[in-house]
Amino acid sequence: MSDDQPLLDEFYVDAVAEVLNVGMGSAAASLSEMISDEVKLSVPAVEFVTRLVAANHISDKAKTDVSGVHQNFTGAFGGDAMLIFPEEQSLQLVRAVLQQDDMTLEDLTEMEQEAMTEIGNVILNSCLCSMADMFGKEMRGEIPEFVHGSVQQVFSDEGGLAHTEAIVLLLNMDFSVDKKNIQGYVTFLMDVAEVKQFKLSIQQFLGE
Amino acid sequence: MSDLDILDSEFIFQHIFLESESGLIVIDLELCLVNWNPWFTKHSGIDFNDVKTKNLIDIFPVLKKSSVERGIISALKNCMSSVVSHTLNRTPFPLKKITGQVLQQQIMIKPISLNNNKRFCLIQIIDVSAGVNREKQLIEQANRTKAISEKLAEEKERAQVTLNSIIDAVITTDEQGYILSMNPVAELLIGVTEEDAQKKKVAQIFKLIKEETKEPISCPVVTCLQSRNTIANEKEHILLGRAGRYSINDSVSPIIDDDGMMLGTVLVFRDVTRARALSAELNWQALHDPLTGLANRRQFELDMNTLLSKAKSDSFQHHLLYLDLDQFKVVNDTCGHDAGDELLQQVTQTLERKLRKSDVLSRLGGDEFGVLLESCDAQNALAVANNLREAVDTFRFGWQTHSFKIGVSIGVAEITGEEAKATEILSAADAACYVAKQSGRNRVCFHETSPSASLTHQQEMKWVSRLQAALDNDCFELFLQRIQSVRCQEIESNHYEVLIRMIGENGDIIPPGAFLPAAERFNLIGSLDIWVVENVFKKLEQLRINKQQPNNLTLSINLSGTSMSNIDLLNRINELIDISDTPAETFCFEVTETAAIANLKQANEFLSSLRSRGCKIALDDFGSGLSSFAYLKELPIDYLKIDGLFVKDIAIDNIDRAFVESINQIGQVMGLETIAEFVENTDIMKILTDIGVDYAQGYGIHKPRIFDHVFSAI
Repeated sequence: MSDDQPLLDEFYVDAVAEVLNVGMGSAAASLSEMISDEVKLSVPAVEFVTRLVAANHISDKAKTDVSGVHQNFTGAFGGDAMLIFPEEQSLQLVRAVLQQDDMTLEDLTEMEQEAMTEIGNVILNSCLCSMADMFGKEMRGEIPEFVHGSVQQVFSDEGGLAHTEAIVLLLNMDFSVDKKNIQGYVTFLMDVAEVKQFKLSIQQFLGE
Repeated sequence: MSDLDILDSEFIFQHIFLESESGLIVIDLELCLVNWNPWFTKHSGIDFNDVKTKNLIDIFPVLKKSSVERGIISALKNCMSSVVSHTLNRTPFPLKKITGQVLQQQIMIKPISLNNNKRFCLIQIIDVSAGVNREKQLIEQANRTKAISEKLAEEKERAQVTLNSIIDAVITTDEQGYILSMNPVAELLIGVTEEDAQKKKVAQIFKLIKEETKEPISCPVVTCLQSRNTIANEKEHILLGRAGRYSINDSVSPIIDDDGMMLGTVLVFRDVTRARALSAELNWQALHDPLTGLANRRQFELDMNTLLSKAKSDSFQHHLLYLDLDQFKVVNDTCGHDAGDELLQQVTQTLERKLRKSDVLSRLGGDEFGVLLESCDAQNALAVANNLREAVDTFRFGWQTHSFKIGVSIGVAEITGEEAKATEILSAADAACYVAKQSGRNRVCFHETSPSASLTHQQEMKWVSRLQAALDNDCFELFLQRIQSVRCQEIESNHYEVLIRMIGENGDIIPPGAFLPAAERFNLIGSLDIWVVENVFKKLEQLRINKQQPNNLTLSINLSGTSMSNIDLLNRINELIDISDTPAETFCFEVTETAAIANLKQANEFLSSLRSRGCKIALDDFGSGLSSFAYLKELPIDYLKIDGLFVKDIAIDNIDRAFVESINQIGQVMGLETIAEFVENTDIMKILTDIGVDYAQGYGIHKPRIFDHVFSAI
C-alpha cells in the first residue's frame, strides 16, 4: 500500500462519517440523559490512515500523555476501538461531566478513570452500533478498559494487532459539555484483512 | 474433553459462580432472572428463590431508565458490553454491606451468546466501597493540603503587602549574604531594583559611611553573619544610594532555625535624614546663641576643652579673651531689650570683622563674649584684644534719637595645657576682665600667668604682700577732706570724706591709686573696707575720750562694690554703731555709681539697711558711668557726688557746666543733696554757687589731712 494512494475513496469515507455522526448523536443523547446536562458530540473529520500516521497525528496535538478508553470489538469485522484525549483534555472532560471544577488533583483519580471508561464506553458502543446497523451485521463489543500513557504506549498496547500492519479509521471528535469544548479522537484499528471486509461492507451498504 | 472432564469443569464453574466475591446476575432476553449468586443474595437481602424468573426491572424498579437498563438492552440487542461506573451512577442496585452501609458498585454488563443462539446477559457487580473511601480520603487530604497552601500563599501575600507598605526598608539575604528580597522602600533608598539585586551580595549595593568622618563602614550583614547576633545601629550612618545619600538607622538580625543553622539575615533600615537634620538643628540651638548666632557658653567650653587637650600635646601658645561690654546695661535699661539685642548683634558683627576665621567668638552670657585664639602668642593675643577694644570704642550705637558710645573691658588668659578644666581658664580670663573693668574700663588686662604680663604681675604680687603686711601691721593712715557747704562758705563744715593712705616702709605716704587696684584685684579691698570702718570708729572713740568731738560731724566712708555683698561687713558696721556713742547720722557711706549699678540688688539691700538706722548714703563719681538717672530712683541715697571730671573744667567748658547743672537739677528735684568733687579753685566754687550745688570738695577748699590733725587743730 503506497502513501499516495488513499486507503479508502473519499466517497466511502464520507459515508462512514455520516454513519458515525448518527452514532455520535445517539451517544450524546445517552450522555445528556446520564448527567442531566446537554452534551454535544460531532465528528468534523474522518480519515483512514496508517497506524504511524494516526500516532503522529495525535502526538502533534497532544504534547503530553494521553488518556483514553480502549474497547475490543469483533463480528463482521474486528479490531480495537479507542477514544483518546490529551491528558489535560481528559481531566477537563471528566470534571465537566462530573461538575467538579474545583478538583485539586492533577491526575484522574481511580473513580474518575472509571467514569471516563463509562463515557468512552457509551461513545464507542454508539459508534459500533451505528456501524453494525449500517452494515446490518452483528458486531460484539467487549468490556472497555481505561488506558493512559504516551501516544506510542497507548497504540502499542493493542494486544493482537501490535504486530500486524494496522489501518486506522481516525475520527476527530468535538465534545461540548458545560460550556467547554474538548477535542478528542476516536480510532478504529483494523488489520488489512479487516479493512477489506470493512470496505466490502460499505459497498454492500451503498448497494454497489 | 471426556464426560468426566465436562462434569468436573461444570462443577468448577458452578463453584466459581457460588464462591465469587462479586455479584453475578444472569438474565435472559426478556430480562427475566435466570440466576444470581449467593454474594448478591447476601448484599441485596433477597432470596433468589423468591424472585426466580421475575423481570429484573420489576425486582429492582430503581433500574428503570438507568444506565444499567440501557446496558442490559445494549448487550441483549446489540451484543455490546458496557461499564456502569460508580461515579456516574451512585447506587444502581440497592445493596448493603453487612455493616448496613451502602455498597458502592461498579457494574459490568456483557452479552452471553450460547451456541444455540440463545442470548443472555451477565451482570457483574463489584464492590468498590474501599476504592471510593480511599478516594474520598485522598480528595479530603488534597483539599486540606490545598487549603494549607492557599493559606500559606495568602500569608505570604499579606507579608509581601506588609513589606511593600511599611516605611522601613527591608532586605533579606541567604546565609552567604546574597540578596533574596528587597521591599520597595529598600529599592528606592538604594536605587537598585529587586530584580537587579538578585544574586548580588548585600555588601555590593548597601554601602555605608560614617556621617562625621565619611569613613566607609563594613557591611553590617557580614558582621551579623559572622557574629550570629543582631547588629543594631543608631549611630550616624550614611547610605550611599545610587539615587542619593541618606542618613539611616540600620539593624540586621540573623535567621537561625531550631537546629541552630544560619538561614540568612533580615536587614532593616530607615531613612532618618529629616530626623537627623532636625536633631542637628536642635543640637545647634543647644550650643549656640539664637540672638547673635555665635557659639554659646556650652559650645565655647567644649571648644576650650578641645583646645586644652591640644595644648597639652602641642607646643603652640593659645589664648582666651574674655570681653565684657561697658555701658550695655545703660542701653538696655534706657531703650529696652530690643535695643539691647540690636546692640549685641551689631557688636558681634564689629568683633567678627576683627577676628581671623579660625578664632572662635562666642557669647558667654548677657553682655559677655569669649574669643579663643588658637596658635596665637601673648603679643598677638594682646594685639587682637586691643584691636577689638578699639573697634568697640569707636563703634557708635544709634537707637531712635539716641547715640551711645560703649566700651569693652577685656581679660586675656593663656591656655597653657596645665589647667585641669576649661572653666579654670575662663575664670582666669574673667578675673583679668574684672581687673580691666575695675581699672577704669575700656582696657585690656592680662591674666597673671601670662608671660608678657609677668612684670606687671610681679609688681602686683609685690603689692599683694605689701598690702597684706600693711593690713597686719596697721600701716595705713586715715586722712580727711572737708566737704564744704556751698551756701555757708564762711563757716567750715564738719563734713569730711575719710580717705586712706598707706604708710611705706620708709614712712612715706603712698596714695590710694598705687595700691587700690591691686587690692581690688586680689580681693583685699573688702579687708581694706573693714580696716577703714574699724579705724574710723577707733578714731571717734579717741576723740570722745579726748573730748575733741566736734558737733554735727559727718564722716563719709568709701565702700567698694564687693563689700555690697559682704554681710559680715554690714553686721560689723551695725555692731560698731551699736556699741559706739556716736550717732548713726554721723556716718555717710559712699559707693561709686558703677559699683552700685553692677550689684544693684545687693547694693540696694546693703545701703537700705544702713540708711534705715540713720546712716547717710552717697552715690560717688556720679556721671562718669554715663549712667541713667533711672537708677537714682532705685537706690536709697542722700547725696549725689558729681564726678570731678565734669567739675574741674567747669569754668572753661560749657558742656561740663551743663552736665553739672543738669545733674544738680535732677538731684535737687529728687530731694538729694549734691556734692561737687575736684573743686580746685575759687572760680569753680563761684560757678557751683551760681548753679546751686549744695556741697563742694577739693584741693581748692581743703587738702586731705591726717585724721588726728584735723581735729587737733580744732
